[in-house]
Amino acid sequence: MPSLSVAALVISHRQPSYLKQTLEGLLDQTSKPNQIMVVETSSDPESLELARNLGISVITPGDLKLSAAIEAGRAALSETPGWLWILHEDSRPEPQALAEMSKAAEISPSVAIIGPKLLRWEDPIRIQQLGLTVTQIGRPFLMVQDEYDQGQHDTDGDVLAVSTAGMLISNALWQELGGLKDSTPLFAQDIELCMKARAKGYRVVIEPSARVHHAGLSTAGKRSRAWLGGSRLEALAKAHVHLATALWPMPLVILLYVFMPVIVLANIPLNLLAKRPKRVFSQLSGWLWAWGTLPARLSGRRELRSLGQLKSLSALFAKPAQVRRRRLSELVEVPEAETPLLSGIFASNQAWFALLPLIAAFGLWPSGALYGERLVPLSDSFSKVFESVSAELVKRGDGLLLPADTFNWFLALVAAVSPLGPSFGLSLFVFIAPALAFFTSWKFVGIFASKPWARTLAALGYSVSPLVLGGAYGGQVVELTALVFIPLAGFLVIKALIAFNPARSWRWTGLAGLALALVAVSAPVAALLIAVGVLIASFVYYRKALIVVWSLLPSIALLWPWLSHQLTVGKLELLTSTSWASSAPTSVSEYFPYIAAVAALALIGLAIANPNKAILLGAIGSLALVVSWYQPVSSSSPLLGLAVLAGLASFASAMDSFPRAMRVAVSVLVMAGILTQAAAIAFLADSKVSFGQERLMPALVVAQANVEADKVKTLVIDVNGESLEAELVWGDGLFLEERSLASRFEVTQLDREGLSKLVASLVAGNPSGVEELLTLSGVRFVLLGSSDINLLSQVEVGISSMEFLQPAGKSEFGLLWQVAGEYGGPDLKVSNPNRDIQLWILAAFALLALPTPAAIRGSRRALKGER
Amino acid sequence: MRILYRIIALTLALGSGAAVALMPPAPQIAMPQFEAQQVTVEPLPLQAACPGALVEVGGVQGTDLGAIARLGSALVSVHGADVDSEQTWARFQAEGYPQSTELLSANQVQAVDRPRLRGLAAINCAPPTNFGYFVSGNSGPGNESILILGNPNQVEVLVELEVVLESGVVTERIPVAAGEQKAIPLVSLSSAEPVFAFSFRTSGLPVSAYLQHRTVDGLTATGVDLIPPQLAKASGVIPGVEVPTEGFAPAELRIHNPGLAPAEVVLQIANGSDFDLQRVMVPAGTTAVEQLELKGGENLLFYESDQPVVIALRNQILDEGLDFSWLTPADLFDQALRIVVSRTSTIFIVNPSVTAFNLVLEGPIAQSVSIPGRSQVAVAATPGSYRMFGSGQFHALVSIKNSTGYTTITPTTMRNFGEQLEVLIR
Repeated sequence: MPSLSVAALVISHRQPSYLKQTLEGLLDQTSKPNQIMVVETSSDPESLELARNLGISVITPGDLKLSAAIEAGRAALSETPGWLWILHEDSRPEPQALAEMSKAAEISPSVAIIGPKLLRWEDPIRIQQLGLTVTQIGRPFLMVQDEYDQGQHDTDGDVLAVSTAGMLISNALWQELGGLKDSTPLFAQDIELCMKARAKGYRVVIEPSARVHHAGLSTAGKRSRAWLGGSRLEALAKAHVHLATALWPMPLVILLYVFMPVIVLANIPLNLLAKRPKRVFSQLSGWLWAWGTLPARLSGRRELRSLGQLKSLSALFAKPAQVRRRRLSELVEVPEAETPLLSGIFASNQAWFALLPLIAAFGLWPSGALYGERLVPLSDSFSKVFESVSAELVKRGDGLLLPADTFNWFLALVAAVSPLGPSFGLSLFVFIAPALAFFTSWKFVGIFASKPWARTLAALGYSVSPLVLGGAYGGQVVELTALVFIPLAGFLVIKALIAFNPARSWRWTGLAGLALALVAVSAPVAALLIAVGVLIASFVYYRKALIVVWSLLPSIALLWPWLSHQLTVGKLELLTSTSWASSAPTSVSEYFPYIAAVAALALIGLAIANPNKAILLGAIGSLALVVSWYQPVSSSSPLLGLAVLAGLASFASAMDSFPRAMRVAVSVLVMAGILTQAAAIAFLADSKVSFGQERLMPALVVAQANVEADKVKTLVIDVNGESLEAELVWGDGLFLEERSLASRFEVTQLDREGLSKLVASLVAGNPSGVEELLTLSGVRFVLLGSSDINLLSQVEVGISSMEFLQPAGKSEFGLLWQVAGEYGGPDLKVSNPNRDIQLWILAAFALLALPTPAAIRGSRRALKGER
Repeated sequence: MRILYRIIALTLALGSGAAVALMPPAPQIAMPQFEAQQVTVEPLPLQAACPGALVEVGGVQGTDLGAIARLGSALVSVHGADVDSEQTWARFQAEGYPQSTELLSANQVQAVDRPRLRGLAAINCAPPTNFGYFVSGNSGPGNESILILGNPNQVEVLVELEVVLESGVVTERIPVAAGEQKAIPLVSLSSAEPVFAFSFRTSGLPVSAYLQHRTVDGLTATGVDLIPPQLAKASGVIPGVEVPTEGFAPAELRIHNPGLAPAEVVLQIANGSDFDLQRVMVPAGTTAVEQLELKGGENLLFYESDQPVVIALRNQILDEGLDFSWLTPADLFDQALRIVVSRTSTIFIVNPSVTAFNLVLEGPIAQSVSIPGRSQVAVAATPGSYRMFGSGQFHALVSIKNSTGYTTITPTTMRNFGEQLEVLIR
């Protein structure tokens, strides 16, 4: 029987249920400690009473941290013990624990610290911890974590460190080393203490036959934030920094602190990619904490190194292979859920049906830049298009300080992915948009209906609708974008809500955030409805709510400049639209036959489909339909599209329950209707778009604008009898991304009187004051156009009579003159103050959206005890 | 409970559908309206330039290759400016307000009787222009077309000709020095094709351009005339098409379609109360030639086209002598028109509207005439300056027909931009 003098110190903090079992375990020891002292740091009356009832001494020194609490306990002991047995209130020792550890202490005099095998509290056949160490870069590492205890580690002896939970330590050593340091992060305190012991030449060992059941409240994040010094991840990050400071060579430590911001920033994409965005905040917090407490870290380093050599410790560090193995073992392959064999759009061969909207849109085969009622080409390069993204200057008149259209984000996306030029990319998008809508709506409907054929019918009904296919032929690029991405955003949001693990939820959230952003920049009201849906659904799927709600961030970020401007000027109606290219308000009656047919199908669906789905789709459709009434600026066809989508999904859902014969009959009927509709739009409806060249101004103006973009202004004059219309055009013309919805409702800052006089004088050929007016207004070119060639030639005579205007030839845009002399107009630069932060947010969501093994392979992070 | 859910869903759907269908349209934001500004600017001074004396190419017998000579001088009649006898070709300028033919109006008449050039040629002296069409080009046997270009500016002007032939399009650039006048025979440019149209465009500044036509039949000269440049128009009127001897020679109508789409031209030929309707299809970029068998008397031709076209009518008469004249569509006047008549003439005045109006003619012969809708009246005029004005818009043409030949003068609008302009700055 061991004859050590042991004092057991139980550090407790308001956990009476755990404390009770721990104290009972202590009292049941075969080798009883000489003294038992409970240190209750929260002064919890229940805990105090519990200890007293068991006849155990208890003190309440106040809300102390671990080290101070142990010191208080030591001080309260009646006799000075040879050994201290430190227990947390959540560490219940088995009866043989102290006896086994005492034996180990007696056998080897060099052993000064002994740790037990920590087993899971609730499931003691699993090892919770078996010694602590650090990785090569100083990160705390558990040698064994959450494994079945089959005795496979019972031969282990020397370790770098052991947890304070169940630690048996020589009282003399404790005193010599000064115990734990409260200035050290919680998760590094025990490791630091043990390293000090090692530095002094003592051994730290694990005694596997001593078993303690440990709830691990700290590592499980169940302690208060104050106790941990932040969240669990923050505490880990701080421990990592502290231990790295202590262990790394000084030059590396200096580099670490200098480059810590870079390291943290560089880790952001990795954390996002790993679907662990919370780590971003913990690392940021760790960096700030490290910089703020640098003297304390260095002091800890000095203290440790003053005790002896640390070289021998590296043999006890975790090997890279161990770390790699641990990382892999954290992922558990999950068997695929049982799904119908032909559930995918490609597996079920339903993707072929995308050819129907593609063929129906054949009249839009891209053969140049698109022109329409509110459609002009994009600039000829991505960089030029991107310059207008989130810009705060509209190139009209003398320059308007207004936010650019938020839809420019989508235009920039098109420009970025189109190898044949932005305008061609936009033409291509309009051509394939109905087919894209087929795919996205097929996915959305799949949430509510399982039969591939039913999903195909609904998706075809949507993609060749007057809203989508008609919108393509009408050149409604903005509405078309929303109609393509609304189903996708809805699908992704729902997937994020019902994902079975956080990694998957984060990935779906990343994708949903990006899709929702595209909806927001094209149809903000539709995006708002989806956002409301997300918030409502968060109550039902509350486990994922805090993840999925992040999907709204990109939308908010992209809309923010537009929102803040309209809030400032009080034109809240403009918040319903985001682009100059948005179509004019429409009436539901324009789509009457189609809407009526969908309504009939939707009513069938609502009457037959699963009631939960029916009420959900009914609510979505009804809300979208009602809200679509409000269209103060532009068409609300995206909302009508959402209502239609809900109706079609409801019908598809109902088809699941149709008998086979009925399903065939209904399918034939609906398909006939779809084909008729597609043919009517493709062959009978008038296309409102045409294809043309990508230039908006004569080649000479474009060339000059390429050299000095901000100093080229062209006075474009359109002659129509005695009526003249004129416009001051910047650079190489006002491309789609440079036009602004806000500017349509603002009066251009211009000297209209002076400009009118200038135009009249030019047309009349009267040179009096013209040269000065041209210089003042910064006009470098005069472009004269008219549908009446006779008028054009008359006016040409007048302008050509002015010697300071050099004829620059005839172009497809009209007759051009170059103004001799220097530019004297305002010097304005486009600024994009919000673009970078918006871009970073999008990039973060793109990283979240990228697949990783945990998010895509069906694997997920292991639950406790699953390995 | 399930039934209740369904009832709720159906009610929601039906209710929202009904609400959207029954609600009045949502209010829309009004966009700011830009107001057009009325601007008055002093326009460029009115200018007019005459072609000058007729041109003879190749000498008296036509054998003197390369010889281009002026034949005597033309009688220039002017209102609003003085004739500078020092000038080889008459140019006029008038400043003042308002601009119209009352500020400046000029024309020239010349009778010639040479072995290869005989007849009467007259023309309204029009403002120089930088662009125009000629549809009357003739280079076949017995026909000669000479382009007379004058540069009234202080700097050289480059004139680009685009000749539309059956075999294709030929272009030529002709520099015209400041103050210079050039006569350019078109036979080489036109590859001696019997019918061709062409356009000219300057490098910016305006030039005076006229086309001189001469015809011979064997060794007999059968007429001469001058024709001004035209612009393409979708409708117009050619007044005063006189046919003293019905059936002598059909009138030749040329229609050139300079556009990119085919033109359908509807012709309405009025002769007293008789109307004849014809439809001519002119493919894009081509010139159609129609022989019109006109009735005896005074004919009036209206045309309407779905594309702008250039149109001219060659009218050959046998009266006191044999001669022809190219008639072009007459401008529409809504203000007073001033014409100086140098020989005994007939003034044709057309009322293009459907209602009659009264026109007052002031001059050596003063009278008031009532012109029925869609018709013309002919007023005999002795030499002198005439001013005509009425309660409606009208077209006019002066026809001179005597023993020396037959010719017409079609007055043109004399007005530059600037007096009253409406400018809208977007």
